[in-house]
Amino acid sequence: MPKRKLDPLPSAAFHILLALAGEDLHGYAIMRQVEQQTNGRVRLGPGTLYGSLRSLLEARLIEELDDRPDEGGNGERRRYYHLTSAGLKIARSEAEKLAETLRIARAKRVLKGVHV
Amino acid sequence: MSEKIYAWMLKLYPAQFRQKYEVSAMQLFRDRLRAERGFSRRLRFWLDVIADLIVSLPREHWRQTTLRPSAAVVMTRSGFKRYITQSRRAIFFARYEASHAGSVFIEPEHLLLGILRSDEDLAIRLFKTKENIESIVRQVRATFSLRRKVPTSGDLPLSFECKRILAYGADEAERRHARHIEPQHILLGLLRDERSATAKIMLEHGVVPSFLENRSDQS
Repeated sequence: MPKRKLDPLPSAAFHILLALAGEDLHGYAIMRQVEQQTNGRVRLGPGTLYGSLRSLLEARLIEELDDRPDEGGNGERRRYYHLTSAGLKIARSEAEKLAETLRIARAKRVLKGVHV
Repeated sequence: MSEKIYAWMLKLYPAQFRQKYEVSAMQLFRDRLRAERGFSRRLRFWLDVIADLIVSLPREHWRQTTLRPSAAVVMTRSGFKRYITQSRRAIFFARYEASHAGSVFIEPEHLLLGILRSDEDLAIRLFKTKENIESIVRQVRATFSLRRKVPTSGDLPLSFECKRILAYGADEAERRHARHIEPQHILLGLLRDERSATAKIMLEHGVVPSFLENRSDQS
């Protein structure tokens, strides 16, 4: 089986897929969402964010929507991104891999506390 | 002042990256600058920007050298050997259009214009009259902003999107067991990405895959 592009999925790309799982977002909103979902641990800079978005676009895991005014901001036109069904599938598979790793860590009592 | 410094930093990225993302990156920088107030947050912000530059800059330059073969290089590879004269002329004219528009890459829009110029018979069949064709050309040209003309003597690479369209075109020819890749195969490739500006323009004018498939079968 040929190795797919973005395999393994880089951490930044995975976080972007997760951010887009709820709704279509523009670049800055993706950055904010990633920061929020990682408790401020991951702050994507413009170079990393747009480099990752391009890789995801090329792999058809996300798609660009037409520019439209920023819904929550000052009306500036923004380029929105949408998660494709292939992107959702990859995000799900990556999350399952992490869940499996988490299960092993729990079983070996590596994890302490209230990790879900 | 901060914006000027970041605009300068962006110039370190490859031209292809800047062409597509310079405006968005600048917008994102401004947004974060507005949000990060106070000395410590501003300091953290600039450290983030510098770290981002250190990580992403080499990666983008590496991509540039590995993923972007020029039209000249690609044309010497086996893929272009299957191109009939009109298809090769289409690439030639696409390169001219890109150069004339000041683009540093050959994009799908240039490819469509190249096909319209290289295969007049196909263009007339698709768009009926010369007036219609001129109108399409204007419409397509309006989708990219004109910059300073790039010299036609230099090398001009195909953008990733353009390479993908050509790969789709080759696939369309393959699916029809065609030995040669003709302009209508490339047009079918352009239509595969329905959200693209070129596909939208073609669809608006009634150029649908079934029409091209009929033409493709006749040839």
